Amino acid sequence: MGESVDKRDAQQRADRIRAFREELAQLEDDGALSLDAMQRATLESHLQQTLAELAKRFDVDTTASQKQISWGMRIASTLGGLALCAAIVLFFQRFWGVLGVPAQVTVLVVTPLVVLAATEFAARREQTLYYGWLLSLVAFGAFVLNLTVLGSIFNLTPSRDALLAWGIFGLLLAYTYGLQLPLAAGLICLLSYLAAGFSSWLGAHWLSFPERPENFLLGGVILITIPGLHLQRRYAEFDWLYRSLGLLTLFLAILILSEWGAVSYLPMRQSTVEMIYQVIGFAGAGMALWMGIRSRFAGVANLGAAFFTLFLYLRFYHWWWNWMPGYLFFLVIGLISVGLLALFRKLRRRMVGVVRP
Amino acid sequence: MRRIGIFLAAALVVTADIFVVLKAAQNRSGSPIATIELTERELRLVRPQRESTALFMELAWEPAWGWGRFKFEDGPGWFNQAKLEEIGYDCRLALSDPSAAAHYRAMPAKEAFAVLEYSEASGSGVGNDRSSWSRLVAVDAGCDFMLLRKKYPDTRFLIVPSLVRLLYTAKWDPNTRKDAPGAYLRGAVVEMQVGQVSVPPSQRSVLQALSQTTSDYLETPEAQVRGPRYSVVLYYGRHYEPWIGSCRLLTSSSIK
Repeated sequence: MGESVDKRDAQQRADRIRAFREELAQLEDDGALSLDAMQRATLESHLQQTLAELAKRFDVDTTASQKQISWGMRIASTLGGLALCAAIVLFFQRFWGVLGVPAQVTVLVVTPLVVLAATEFAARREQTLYYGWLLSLVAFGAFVLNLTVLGSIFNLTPSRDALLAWGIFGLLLAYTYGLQLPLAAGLICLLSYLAAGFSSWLGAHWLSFPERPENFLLGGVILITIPGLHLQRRYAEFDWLYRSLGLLTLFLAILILSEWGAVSYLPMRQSTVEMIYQVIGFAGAGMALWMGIRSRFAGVANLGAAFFTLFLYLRFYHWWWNWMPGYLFFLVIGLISVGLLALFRKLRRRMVGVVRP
Repeated sequence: MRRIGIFLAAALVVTADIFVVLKAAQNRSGSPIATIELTERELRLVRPQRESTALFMELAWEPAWGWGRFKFEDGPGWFNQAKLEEIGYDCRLALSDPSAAAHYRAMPAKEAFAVLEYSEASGSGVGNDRSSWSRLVAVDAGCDFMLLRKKYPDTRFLIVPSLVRLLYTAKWDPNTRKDAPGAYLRGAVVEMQVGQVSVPPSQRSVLQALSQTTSDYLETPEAQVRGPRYSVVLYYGRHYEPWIGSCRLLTSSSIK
């Protein structure tokens, strides 16, 4: 769940205090440290006061069980938001037939506006934004329903501009309340809008944009670049989402092209295109792994490692599956996995102390 | 930021909706660019979901699109390679090239205007297999609406924005009933840009009596004898987007 930077800092401090208390207790049990009653009372009073203040100002989780419950609440609010979206869609379909066109349009326009007002109301009432998270998801769903159904009522030609409107709406919700789910939804819409623009510009129908993975490459690069520009210091907690979504987009596009070069725009033989993207895939995944470790971005390093392994296994499959007996193929894969495990373990040791997600 | 953000989001919703409504109004302003009366064969009644009370009609045309649909035909017909190139497909790669099949099969759909001829006589003969087929037949396609209208001025030709696709089709030998050596390129009208037309509330009462959707109805023996159950006057506006003008129920005697 997204929080403001202050809230994030407050939660990190509460986590540090909790860890400090646990370590202190362990040190005392081991006999490595002994505080007298006066010191203990002063320290405990200071920690209690700090935690109480953090909890009051930012509603942070001060214990491990509170943190677990918070995760449960986040999952519940996501599922609740999705269920409410489904309820709105099905409710509208159920009563569509008995409403006249003006009533249909009014309901469609008013629904996202009412949910937006409810989101604002909830956000003012609670700092944790569980209800705000849920309602923002419903507001996004209501706006998607709004444009889709209005298009159906008036039999309009589907337009990619709807993706742009949904994308901006998602970003507005995300940056207004510091929520990451509307940000992810908005960015996916904007990625699709950009890809659809490419598809259209290159002569195909815009709805064909998923058929050509190269349509997504520029969008992926833009997403990765944004955190590096330091344009959104107040929203630093969004950086990992931009990086992860951008990398995922790039790697998935490259993976498809490395397996099926026929869907490329490059005017080359299919096998040449596949080879080019295989090289790019290995180099890109290796670079992401290296950059992730170097810059201490665990998400980037994990994505790099996952796709490097995937690219490697796909190559093994293409090279060996047809001529090697099945048992031998899996034995080789198993042995290589053991080797990779040793390699990643070595890298993991270098990542000790990672602080950024 | 919070207050500005929420106001901007609300303004975006209102602006987008105004834009959609104005676009729809503009399409329907002035006289329609085409008016045609079609029956249930061409405009098929569909319901999106079990619980839904919404009614839609889906435009059906021949040759109906489906994967492998043209496998057993002996040539491309009017939608040949020259027509594909006219629409913007690059067909320079020789069909004998080893990568031709993968290259052509990966080509995405393109926008084009499809010319659909409404011929009440086609597929005629109540009771035969084709009696339920659409009488709208795709006869041409192109990128310029005005050129096509000039070429097909008669009102029985409906010119509508559609999606077309290039198909790399293996030649078929009817004698051996197997794929023959070689292949050819053909095009197909695969989708209308507005394929589903919403039934307005004013016309819903006419169709209320029909309990079955068209696909369910066509499977009944009654459909073979009775034929289509309704006819619809369909208009196309300035943006080539359709709307339903009126619906009427047909009696057996009124069916041609």
